[in-house]
Amino acid sequence: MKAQDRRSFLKTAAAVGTAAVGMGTATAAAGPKNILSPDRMGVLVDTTVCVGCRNCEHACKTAHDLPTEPLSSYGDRSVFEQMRRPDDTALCVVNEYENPKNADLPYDVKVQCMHCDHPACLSACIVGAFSKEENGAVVWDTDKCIGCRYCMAACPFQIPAFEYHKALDPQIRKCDFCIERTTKGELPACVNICPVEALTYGPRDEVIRIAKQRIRTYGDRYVDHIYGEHEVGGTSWMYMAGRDFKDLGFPKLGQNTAPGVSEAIQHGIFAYFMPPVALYALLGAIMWMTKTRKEEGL
Amino acid sequence: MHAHMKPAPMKGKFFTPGVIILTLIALNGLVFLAGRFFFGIGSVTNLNNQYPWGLWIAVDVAAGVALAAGGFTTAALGHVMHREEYHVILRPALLTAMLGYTFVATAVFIDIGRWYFIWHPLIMWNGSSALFEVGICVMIYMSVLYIEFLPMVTERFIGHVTLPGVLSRLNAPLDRLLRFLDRTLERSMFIFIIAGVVLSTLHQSSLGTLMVIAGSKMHPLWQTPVLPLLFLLSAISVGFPMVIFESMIASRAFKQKIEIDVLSRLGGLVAPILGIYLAFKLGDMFIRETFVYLQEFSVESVMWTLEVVLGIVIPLRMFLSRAVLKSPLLLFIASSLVILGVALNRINNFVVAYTPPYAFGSYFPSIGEISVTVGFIALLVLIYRVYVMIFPVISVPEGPATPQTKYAIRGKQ
Amino acid sequence: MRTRVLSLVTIVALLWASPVFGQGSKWDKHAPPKKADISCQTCHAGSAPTRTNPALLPCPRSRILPGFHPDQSGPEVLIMSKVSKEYGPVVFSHKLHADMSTMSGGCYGCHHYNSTSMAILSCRECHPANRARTDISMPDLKGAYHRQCMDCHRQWSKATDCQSCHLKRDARQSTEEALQAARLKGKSHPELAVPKRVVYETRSQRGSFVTFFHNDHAERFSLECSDCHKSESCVRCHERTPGGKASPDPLSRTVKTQRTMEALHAPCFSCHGQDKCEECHVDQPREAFDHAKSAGWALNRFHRALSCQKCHGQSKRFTKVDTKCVTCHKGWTPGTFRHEITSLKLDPAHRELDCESCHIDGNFANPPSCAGCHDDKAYPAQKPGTTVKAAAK
Repeated sequence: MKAQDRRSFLKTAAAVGTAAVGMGTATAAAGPKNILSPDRMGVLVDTTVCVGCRNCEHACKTAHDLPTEPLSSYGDRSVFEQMRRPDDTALCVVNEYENPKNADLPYDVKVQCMHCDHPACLSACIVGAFSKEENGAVVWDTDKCIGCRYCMAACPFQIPAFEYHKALDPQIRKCDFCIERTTKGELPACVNICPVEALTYGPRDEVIRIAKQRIRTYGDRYVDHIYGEHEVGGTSWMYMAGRDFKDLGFPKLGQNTAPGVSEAIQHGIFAYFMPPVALYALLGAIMWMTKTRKEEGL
Repeated sequence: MHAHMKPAPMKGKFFTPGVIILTLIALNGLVFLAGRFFFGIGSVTNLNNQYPWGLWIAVDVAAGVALAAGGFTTAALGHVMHREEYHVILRPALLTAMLGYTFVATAVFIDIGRWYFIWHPLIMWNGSSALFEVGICVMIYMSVLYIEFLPMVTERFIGHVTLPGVLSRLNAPLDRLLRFLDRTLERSMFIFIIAGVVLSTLHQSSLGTLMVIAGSKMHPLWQTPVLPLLFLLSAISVGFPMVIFESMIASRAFKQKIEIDVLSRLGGLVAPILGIYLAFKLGDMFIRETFVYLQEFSVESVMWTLEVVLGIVIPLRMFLSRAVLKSPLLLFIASSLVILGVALNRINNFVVAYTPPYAFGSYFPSIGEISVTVGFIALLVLIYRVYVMIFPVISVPEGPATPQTKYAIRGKQ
Repeated sequence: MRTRVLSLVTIVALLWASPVFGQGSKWDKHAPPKKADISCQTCHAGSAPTRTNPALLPCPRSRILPGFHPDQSGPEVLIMSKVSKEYGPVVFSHKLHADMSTMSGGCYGCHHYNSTSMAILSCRECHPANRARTDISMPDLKGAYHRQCMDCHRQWSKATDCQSCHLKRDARQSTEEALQAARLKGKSHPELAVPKRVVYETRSQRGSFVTFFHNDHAERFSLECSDCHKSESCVRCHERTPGGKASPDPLSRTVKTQRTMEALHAPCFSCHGQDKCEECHVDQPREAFDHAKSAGWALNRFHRALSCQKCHGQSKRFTKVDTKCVTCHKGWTPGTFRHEITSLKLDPAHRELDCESCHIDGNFANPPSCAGCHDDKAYPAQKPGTTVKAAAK
């Protein structure tokens, strides 16, 4: 090969590199809405108050147009014999656990999306179909989703569910914090219906303050831990309990955000697209040098 | 020796008993595949809300990408470092990679619930998603692979474009197009070759990043922040064994002589890479003190041991031995073990290590999932066969004509 | 008892020493709480609340004022219809529930907060009717109502469905409401049976039986049920089945308790905190205290009415007392003793005799004997006087 060719080689390589950098900056700007508003809302679930009436399950299904039995059938407490998980047919479920202090007052725990402050699903989603809204809700955009289910693998609370038995238009389903209702100024359906107000809806900071006050005032009623205040960097839904959370079906999670390590790696590899461009340049140089050596050798 | 080797389309009957069996396996897979498209993923697979990813992601996608690493490792060796002696294996490796990635893309297409939106990542970006990066890189890399393959098309058809009937009028323009492509590609191919290596490095490692976000849902024997590095190292270390493996099978299938000189030299490169991989894997284990999990007898500890002993330690010892490198059978076994090890590693990472906090049972792939995966592998082999019979991929000795020519030249003197 | 008196004295003393009192007339508008087991800090933040700035704490859910109306004047049946939009009204038998609450906080169980005025505050005066609100520090009205009901109903009836309390909202609603109200009128909870003796079988190493004399404690220390039974639940008597009926003889039932060691001992330790375990924990259930058996001297009806301390002194360890009347009744000499208080008015002939003439050896526990003087007479067939109506001293 001739020297001229080598020059064009370098020129083209430089052009490709620049293009890659351009793409890099574009990627950095692109991404789903991820707002961590100081005014975001929260819900405090007081599991010592919840009576397990499951009205929330009914309200949730009604609010999300999911098929449901009539409310009167929800009094059947035999469903508590088995632990249930939210799925595509029920975005929230209530489970019952023994109360060691009083066998006649079991603890009931409502389970739904925790609406993380730093959602793993949002970070993971290949097309950015999840977003964290101003009011704290983590919601999902049907029009974007490709159904890869990476959000399900990523979620530390195992919440997103998939409609496995739909051939067309299967959806990821999870609690959306009743975003449609709250934007209209209404309460989330479950909060609205709860007969004992075991679910307290308010600004997240205020909710934490109230929870701490309750623990101070009724120390013998609660364990001194607000689940979700710090777990995975904080969640919008938080829980109070009368016994250790691990006995109430809560996963033991640290205070680091769920997508933290993964994002650090991602952003490390793609820091201004420098590492890939550098690798490209390095390989180009090796290619050029070995070629030159070969030509000189011949 | 390689000087006498020249790529040429393979000759022979397409349908052999083996091919017929493969066709049946492929058809069986397609039947279940139809089920998936008509009745949903749930009707064919054992996937559920606890186990969102199963065999298709672990084997078809993750292992598929890893085993197609022969493409970029040989490209780096042959093209970037200009090690001409390996040129005979470049084309087969490229074809394996190209078909491998096509297989991966198809598997993704099958596995995602909303397959008709598979193009979404092209316009809907999420920079923080490891999967997005894998997706984009795989898409671009696959295009690069097809571009890299084009010279074989031009080589085969320039001067041989003979479309039948009415289409014969297109023969001349097509020929001109092929010649144009040939000229352009010759000058710019290095861009694609380097891009291919860079893209592979990126997504091979990001495939490891995928499961980092699963955090505590992944068994500590595998969950580590250096997963991307381990994935990259394992992909590089499986690259050459994969080339050796498929080169030997292809030679056998087409009754060619095994290129043992090239392959054993290639095999000599495996041990250092495999050693580095093992060192990182064990180093990580000792830093995180996860060896404690090996003391308990569980599916995880057994699978980890199998993966490391069978897939790294034994083949590492084998590749270090000259006798193994010289023996086609032992070289084949050693390469197969590395491939098995990496495939196991991907299965372990994506299925075995995945322990959902609320599981109502454990996951094992259904007949349907296995059928589809096996069917697709069969299909892949068949398509490979078709390709090497059409395009000049596999190098053959320049045939009986060569000595004659030489003789003729001599005769002229 | 003594500690109670003591603590009351201490609190009153503290109150007087506090700045509130120092500033004088504040109590004019604010009668001091009658039950002395609360302090200013129960309701007020800071040490110097004023009328303009009372610095009231958020609801302490504690007994604020005991000054409620007598039980009889509470409403018998209430119709609660204002809160629910989805459901019909609840016909609430207030009296019946008041009866039931005797052992779980009484009126305060529900009426847990009151202002310093004597009128009963209705729930809605504190608890906002609107769930969407800014102050979320206390439950809203719907939550507050249901929380009062649910904990008991969960334990007893095991029912959490709405229809178990709410009427259906339909055409028959008003008829049904009237019917239920009529049915509940005049209904009261059967009087609670009070056990005399409760035997606890414990797992203690130091003696597995603890015998508790319920009536002795209640009477001797004039305790209200709620002084010890602060949050008793229905299932103490009622079966643990949906809508469980009361067991026919709740007092003879064996009940397994699941309370902690501390919770079990708390009621005892408020007085017996200093006692050794062995004083209560013994190897056999104890019989009821019988003065005749333990002291060998049966108490007559006059002595039975006395407190132990009257004879045995104020200290915790009772001192042994002999059976001579004059040991206690210092003024009883033959000349001054009026025998008629024993229902027997002596005739003049016997009035002059020494006590020992009839009461051999001065032992008044034994029946008197006539044999010292008379061969033909015997007590009680013949009496040395006339029977009169007994008169207490």
